[in-house]
Amino acid sequence: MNSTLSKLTELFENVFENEIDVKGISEESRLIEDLGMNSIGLLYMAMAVEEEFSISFTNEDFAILHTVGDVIRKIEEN
Amino acid sequence: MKKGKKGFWHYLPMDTGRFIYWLMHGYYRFKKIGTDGKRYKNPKGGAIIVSFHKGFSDPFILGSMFCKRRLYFLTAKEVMFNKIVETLLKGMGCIKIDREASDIAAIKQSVEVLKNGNLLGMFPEGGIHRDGQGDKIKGGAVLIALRAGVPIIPVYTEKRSSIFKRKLVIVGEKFNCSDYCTKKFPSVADLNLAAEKLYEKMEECKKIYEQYVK
Repeated sequence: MNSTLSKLTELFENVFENEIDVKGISEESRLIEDLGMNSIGLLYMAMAVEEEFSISFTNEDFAILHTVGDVIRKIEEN
Repeated sequence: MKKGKKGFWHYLPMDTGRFIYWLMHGYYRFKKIGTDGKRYKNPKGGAIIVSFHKGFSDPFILGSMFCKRRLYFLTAKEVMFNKIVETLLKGMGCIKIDREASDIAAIKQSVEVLKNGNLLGMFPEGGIHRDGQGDKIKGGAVLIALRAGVPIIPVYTEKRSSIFKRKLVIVGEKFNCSDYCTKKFPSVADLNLAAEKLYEKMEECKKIYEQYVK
């Protein structure tokens, strides 16, 4: 789980640059409320994760993806 | 969705729509001018066509402008207000998108359509603005273009003063988002910068149009 979190943190750092404080990211961090992602930001994050981790997101996934931990679980399921 | 991969019946509603567009093409008698002042020829391969959205006729105008090609549209889910309309519009090449949510399915379908060499029409302001000037455009067009590896072509037109006159359309140069997003994972800031530059190109087309009609 920790290696996925560190890879994900690195990815967020590249994608969101200074818009997100990556040092504070934990599994409990909420994507919208804590990390400040909007609908385009979420899409962009999902697409970058898809490319990096060779997984695929569906619209239904967005209903259950609330935290960084949810994204990690989705990655590790595949 | 490559040509020939899907059969006659799959494309029948879309091609029927294209026939109507073709008839409208005769009505509008488009005069397509590039930003260099020369006559514009239809693009080859996949590309996103963007325009300001001033009224409900805009998709029909774009459709008839590019009636020689299959032009798909990203269409707000609110437009598909019942099952009959939804089936009809989807058959005609409309891709339903939920503008309020992160609709990854619509983005992926748009990317697939473009990768297969088709055109995709979009109104990146995200809604109708009757005065022709909306807020700054959203990053969706840039995101799709980057993902599909296709250029964006800005287009500008207005209501003609008389139906006896040809409809003037200014077509901008191909806008390559990759010029602004060079990294493997371009940042959101890069994406926003590309969207701003695209907006400038759309504005440029508008200014050229105004010079022609003065």
